[in-house]
Amino acid sequence: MKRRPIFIFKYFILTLLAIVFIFPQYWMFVSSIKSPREIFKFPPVLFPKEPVLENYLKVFQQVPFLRYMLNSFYVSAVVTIAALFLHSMAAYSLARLKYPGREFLFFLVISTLMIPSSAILIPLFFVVKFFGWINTYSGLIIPAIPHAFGIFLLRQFYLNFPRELEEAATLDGCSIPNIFFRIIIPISRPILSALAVFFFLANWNSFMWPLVVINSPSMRTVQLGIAQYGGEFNNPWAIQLAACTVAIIPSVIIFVILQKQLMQSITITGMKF
Amino acid sequence: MKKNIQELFFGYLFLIPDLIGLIIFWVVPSIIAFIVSLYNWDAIGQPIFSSFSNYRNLWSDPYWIKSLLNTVKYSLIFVPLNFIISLSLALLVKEDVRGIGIYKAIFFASTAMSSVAISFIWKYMFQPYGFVNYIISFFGISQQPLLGSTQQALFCILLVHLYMSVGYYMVIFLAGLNDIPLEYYEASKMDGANTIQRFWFITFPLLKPTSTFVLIMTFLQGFQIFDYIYILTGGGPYYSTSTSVYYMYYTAFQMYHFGYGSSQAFLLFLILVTLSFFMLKVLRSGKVAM
Amino acid sequence: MVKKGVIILLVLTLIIPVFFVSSGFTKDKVQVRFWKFTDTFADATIEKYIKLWNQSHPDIEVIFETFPWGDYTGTKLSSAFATGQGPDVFFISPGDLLRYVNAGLAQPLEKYLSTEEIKDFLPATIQSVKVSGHIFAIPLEMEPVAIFYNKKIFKDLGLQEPKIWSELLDTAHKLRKGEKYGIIVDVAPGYYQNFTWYPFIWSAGGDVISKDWKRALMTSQAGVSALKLWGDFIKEDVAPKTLPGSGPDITMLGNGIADMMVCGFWGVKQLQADFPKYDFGVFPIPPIDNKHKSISVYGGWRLMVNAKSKNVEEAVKFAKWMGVDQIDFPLEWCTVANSKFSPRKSVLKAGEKYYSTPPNDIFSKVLQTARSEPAFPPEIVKAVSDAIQGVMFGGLDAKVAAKQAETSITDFLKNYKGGIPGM
Repeated sequence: MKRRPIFIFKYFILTLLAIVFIFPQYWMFVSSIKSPREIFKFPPVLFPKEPVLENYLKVFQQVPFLRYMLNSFYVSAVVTIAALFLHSMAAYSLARLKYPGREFLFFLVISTLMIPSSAILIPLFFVVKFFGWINTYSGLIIPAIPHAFGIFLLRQFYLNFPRELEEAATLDGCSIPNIFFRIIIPISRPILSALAVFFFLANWNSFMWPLVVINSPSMRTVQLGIAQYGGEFNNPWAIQLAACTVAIIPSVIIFVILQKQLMQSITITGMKF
Repeated sequence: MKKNIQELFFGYLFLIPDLIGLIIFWVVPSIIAFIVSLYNWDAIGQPIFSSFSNYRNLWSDPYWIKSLLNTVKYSLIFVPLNFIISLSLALLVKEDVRGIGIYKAIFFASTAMSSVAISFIWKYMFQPYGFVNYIISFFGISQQPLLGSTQQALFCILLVHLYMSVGYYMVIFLAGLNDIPLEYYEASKMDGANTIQRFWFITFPLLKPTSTFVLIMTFLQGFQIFDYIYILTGGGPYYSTSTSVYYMYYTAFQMYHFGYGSSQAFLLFLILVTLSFFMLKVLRSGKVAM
Repeated sequence: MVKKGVIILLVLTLIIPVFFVSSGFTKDKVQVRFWKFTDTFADATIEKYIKLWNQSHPDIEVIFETFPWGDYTGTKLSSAFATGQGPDVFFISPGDLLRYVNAGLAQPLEKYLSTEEIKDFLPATIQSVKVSGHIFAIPLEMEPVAIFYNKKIFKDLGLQEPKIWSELLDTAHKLRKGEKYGIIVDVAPGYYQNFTWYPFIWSAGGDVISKDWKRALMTSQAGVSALKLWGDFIKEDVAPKTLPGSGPDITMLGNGIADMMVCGFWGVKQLQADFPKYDFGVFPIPPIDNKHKSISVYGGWRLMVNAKSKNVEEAVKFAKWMGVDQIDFPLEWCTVANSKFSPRKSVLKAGEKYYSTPPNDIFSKVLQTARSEPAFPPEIVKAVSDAIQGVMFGGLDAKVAAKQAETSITDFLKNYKGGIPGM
């Protein structure tokens, strides 16, 4: 079998890379159960002599971390669903539908990616204040929905879709919304799954905007929560890292669930609508 | 005719919600930011009109110029490296074999880490007696100052950025690779094409829309790099890791010169619009739809 | 049909949060918003006293909100005040005081304070919050800076506490073994690096600018020597060029990254709590030579009242209650929740026992000659920071770095039209 050596070589490289990638993750986890006496020690302590598993309890005791995770989950989920819906429509319009000004509008959309978010942090705060959304879920959710990243990515994907299906549907007299919801969306599942993961992650890891918009401790999101364990001089790294480890779990779970969707391949034959 | 009107109607209808959102939450604040750039303002006091003096001062600000140069240098290295590594990872994990999901999860999990974790892990890794120096000692290289060196600090940031980024773009390439109908591969195999030929003549060309996206996005992200600098070096040592966006943040939120900071943002915006316009033009030339 | 369901669900999920307004507005109570940076351990004490206040003052409700320390002054306060959403009472750092005074956001407090109340404060602390004759904040704490060291290693190597700079450098060399460094000083550019450096220029008999804010003095012998010392720490490899934690984190000393560390009074409590077996000592920052005196720096947050608040009177009442009217909170804040000094003589007396127990007694001694953290505007902070960074990492000669700083500061002072602290 000629394929064998290549196969093994591939897996060897993969495993090597995986070790490189997982090591910092391991370091995060193992440091989260260290006492302050070992946290910065050199040479590095690979297995703590006195593991402090209570740190994981402290994550939830010192601060209402579960509440923060729920806040983040709510915000991220709503933004993700709304964004997927709106971006796929916008992207389809930019990729497949013809109308005057389309190219200009596309460039306008992309140009928003060239605005550093810290530059509009305070101006955006003015806008949100105008709507009365300071310290509300709306203030966290609504400004986070429109974003050129998703529109751009989906547009590129729609450009690449085989046109035969749409052409056949048009000949059959299907309206555009019908084509979109009945043909395009189902085929888009892989890329929509990828985007779902990304949008969720982006909102989950968001820090600057929630910091500016949220005042009440009860509305804090997960990243604000992780920053709450310390103080001016005292950074209880282990507990924070434990919080970080807990925080990473939902994103990875969503990734694993949607992973199957991601892997669906297109076959032209066999598409029914 | 009916089709054209339908296309027009739905073309706008589908785009409008997101477009309005972008206008309210991105374009309007940017206009406000531009107006602020015409003033001297420290956020809490009274703004003082200064016309374009902020823009004039930029060109005599050595730290701004250094930051811009750092940014260009950074992007030129980050974009190709990220592209090659994430595409390679995607090709490696593309197989639908048992257990491949674990590898995908490992590569992806890095991108899900929070800033506190990144700060701790990588600062520690780059210490004089930390892991990175430990590894390179096996190659006979002496202990390096890494984050403590004006020459090396930016590359350390680059390493962290790559670590946090390649898993992400691997997922995008995976979705792109899966978009390529299997029939093309079947047909080419019957024609006797080998792996490399299949990649070069089928995969790579059909990946063009995805590649365009990745190149443009990573270019924009590289040019706007901020997070890792904020949490690892604070622009130091001695401005060697100060990039355009970092210096802009520093100017606005630590020096409290919001007007000056806004002028930096606007100028950066103009530079990016110009560069991406040309990038898109170049990438669009070719037979495959862009 | 599923799509319709999804759309309805979507609309619902978008509408519901609009009605989620946090902490309902009750019109009969006056609300005073009190902001601070987060300190999970010490904040419990503040919350305890706020609860006491809310119980005894049913008509004035104090709401306590905290934010991550690193982003509190730069991002949170700025964005809140920029949009008129600033709190009523808040913690403010020495570095920000002038900015808020110049912006008209600091409520003058002297008319609310009696002569005895003002006299209870150490005069220097009142001077440091006074601009143009008005008192703009209530000092709450003082944290002087000194050098912590590993007593056991010193004993093993037969080392004495250094008394002048040359001895300090020499001791650092003797301590430098293997992975261990001799001394830790902050390496990241910023106000804290400056803060821990000021004692060195002062202990060499100099200063950054003249007291009347008319002249920059960085190129004096003191300025150049202080810069050179820090540059030497790095150049002679006795101090690490990069740190795993932040500058003020005494954990680095406890973990043995070095056996000496420039740090503040807060370090005492942390070491005692997290490293009970670590035998540490403290000595004052040495002067440059025997002809000069050791002068340290102390930092410490203050309470400021928002002059543009809708409830100024109530806010002042609360701030005064916390910091001036009583001894309980300041005492608990300084000696139980943290290790800090109080700027009030009555509180210092009440905590006498605490402050005279070693090693706190060393800090008590240091405090007697220490100066308050200067209220420099960001331009001066940047000039000093660039000089320190330049000498440590930019390969600059100390004289060159000092000259660059002096030029920037002079340019700035020429155009500066704001208030001058202490005047």
